[in-house]
Amino acid sequence: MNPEDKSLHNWLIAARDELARRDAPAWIEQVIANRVEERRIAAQIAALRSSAAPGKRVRPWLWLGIPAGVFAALVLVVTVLLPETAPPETGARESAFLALAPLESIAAEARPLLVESQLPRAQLAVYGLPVDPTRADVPVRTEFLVSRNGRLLAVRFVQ
Amino acid sequence: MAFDPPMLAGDDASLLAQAAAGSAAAAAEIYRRYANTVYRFVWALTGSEADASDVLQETFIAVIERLSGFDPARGSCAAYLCGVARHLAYARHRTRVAVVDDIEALVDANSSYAEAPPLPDEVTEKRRAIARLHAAIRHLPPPFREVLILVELQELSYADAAAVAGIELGTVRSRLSRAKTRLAELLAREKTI
Repeated sequence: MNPEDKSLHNWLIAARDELARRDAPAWIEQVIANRVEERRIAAQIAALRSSAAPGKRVRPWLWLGIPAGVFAALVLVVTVLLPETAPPETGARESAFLALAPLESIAAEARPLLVESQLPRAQLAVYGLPVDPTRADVPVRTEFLVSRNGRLLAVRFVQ
Repeated sequence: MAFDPPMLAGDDASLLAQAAAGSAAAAAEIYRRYANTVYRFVWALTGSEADASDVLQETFIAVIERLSGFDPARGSCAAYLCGVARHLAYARHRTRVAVVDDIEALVDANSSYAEAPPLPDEVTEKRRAIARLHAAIRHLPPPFREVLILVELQELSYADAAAVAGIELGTVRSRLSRAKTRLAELLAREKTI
């Protein structure tokens, strides 16, 4: 290596060392974390809505993935959540909230989201609710209680 | 750290796929592995901390949301991310970075070298000199500059540098050689270096 090359080589090493001390600003990690979280919640809500759209096949994961024991044991009214999340009175009659997650985890959610959707009426049977066969194809307004990280907490039906 | 999820083990390709599918833990792990590499590359390319920050953010969001063109057979994950960052960085400065048809003409056109602005007095002479070196690197034509940064400053392999720049391996070698020659010429004019 001739002297000129050696000098350049040494300067490039110095520049490399200096560059290696430059770290990405910490705040960017938070921005990306927030973006991932927002995207995940949006996708989950979109999935809920599309699964309930009239004329579409209901996605089996939503129903078959929920253990029957959860419904047998936890079909309880989550009355403590109603005052914070219920919409203004409109004359509609809502069913009680049916818990889809352990009650303690529902209670631990400080600010759950209420997501409106529609389900085929026949799906009420999945929850052990009566279904009028003559109206089985009529959608029923449904409200899902969803945690801030997109987990389903409870569901209720509005007549 | 802003990401709470625990570290994930796994190869880069599967982590990228998981991140694209919405896994915060996978996105966090990929970010932790490569954020500094991408940031330093863009900083060296542009000399702007603001640009480097913006492009870093845009790169990871683009990769997480619109993945995935990553193919391990074509280069490392660092090369893939730097390639995305390079594209975004040039897109931000499209008016300053022209399409290069004639490298020779471009080198000649860039023969004038403006001295970097002086730094505060408390900065040591060596740091000033290194700052001028970085400024000199940024005065290289973009095709030479990026190869020099990738290979000499970021120590990527020739193959990875080729993947980032979208050029052949032989072109990496020739551009690197010319970049060094050109840089030596620029530095020779700097009395303090």
